[in-house]
Amino acid sequence: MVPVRNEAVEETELPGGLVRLAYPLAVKPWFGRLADKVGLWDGRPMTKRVELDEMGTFVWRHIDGRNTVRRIADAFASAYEVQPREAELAVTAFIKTIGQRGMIGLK
Amino acid sequence: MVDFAWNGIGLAAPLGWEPSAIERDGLLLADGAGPVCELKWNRVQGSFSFDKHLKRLTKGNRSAEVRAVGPDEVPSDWAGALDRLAESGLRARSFLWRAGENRGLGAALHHPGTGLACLIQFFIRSAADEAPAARVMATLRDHTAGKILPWTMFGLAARVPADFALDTFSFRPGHYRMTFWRSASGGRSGRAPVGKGPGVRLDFERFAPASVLLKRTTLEAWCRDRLAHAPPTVLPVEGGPGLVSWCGEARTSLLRRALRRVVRTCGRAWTTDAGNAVLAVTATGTAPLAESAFNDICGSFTLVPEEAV
Repeated sequence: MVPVRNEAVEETELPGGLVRLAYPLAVKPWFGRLADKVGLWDGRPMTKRVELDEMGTFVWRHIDGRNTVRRIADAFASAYEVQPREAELAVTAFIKTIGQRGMIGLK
Repeated sequence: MVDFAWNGIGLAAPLGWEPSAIERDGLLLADGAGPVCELKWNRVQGSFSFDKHLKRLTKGNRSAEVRAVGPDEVPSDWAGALDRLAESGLRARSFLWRAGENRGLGAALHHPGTGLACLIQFFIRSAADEAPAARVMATLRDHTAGKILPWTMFGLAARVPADFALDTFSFRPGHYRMTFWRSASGGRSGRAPVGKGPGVRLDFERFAPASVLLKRTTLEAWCRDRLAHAPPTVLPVEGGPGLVSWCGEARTSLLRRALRRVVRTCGRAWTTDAGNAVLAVTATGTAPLAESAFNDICGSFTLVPEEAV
């Protein structure tokens, strides 16, 4: 499986080599209608920001549409000297989390 | 081969075989294609009947056809492995099972000297799986008779006095933890230890990657913040950047002194030369642990490169 970045995600470099990501928030239709009715939302896409730590930044930088999840896990394991299986679990958990937020897709 | 030693049982398995389920008295090893080996064990008192246990196994798996077999019905490698185990005192009876397309080869084992009763089975997908199964079988070891139990799991190794019983364990990415408990009376009870009453709790922790965890802090500050049994704020911590240790009273009062319930704590945390990890051992409780015993335990706690075994 190859993770691919959502083109709508904006990446900002932070001091110290970390990154901040801004991604469009998926609003449930019923919540959107309700928020619209009570005047809490003007219909423009909402964005959410998240700052990645060093390891999250490492994985994000390796998501280039070519690296497979396994290759990213291998790179993670050798960069941080953790066990391959441990790296695999950590990387897949992270990819699942950002995938659920719509920041990446899998092909 | 990779060594595993868990709660009294040891074996060496091929590099691709990894624990996919760990219980207090059980292990399931799997490779990329699925489960390959399962172990369950217990300590029994008195006599042990192979027939009774194999009959129970047959009854408990009605969907599978299980039958005990003699030495002439198993592969020669397997029979040789059982002969080697017999030299170490382990008696064995082999069994075969078949359920649809799947089949397996296993054995019920018993050590009359230690009371260890073990059920081991290998999932045989093709005839080529029989030789590795026999090789792994030959490495099975019963450590329960010793005064010190070796522990090796997920690249961590330690040697723990046998009167400490395994309490809890977790192996999550970045944080491995094993906790042992010894009651003040010192004996290993048959029931799971609950950590209540007078006794001492021994905690082994491994955190990784150390280079990230200790980037903006010192080892001492990090230990005070993150360890399960962190040193109390009033307790001084000795050591330098790569190793810290502490020892003293964690909870005390006049009443605790009168009741002899002063909680003492000893701890040591260090960064490893290779492996980019922080290892920590703490002993906390009302029953004191000798300093020499604690030093030995800390000295035995180490990272094991999987390829080096």
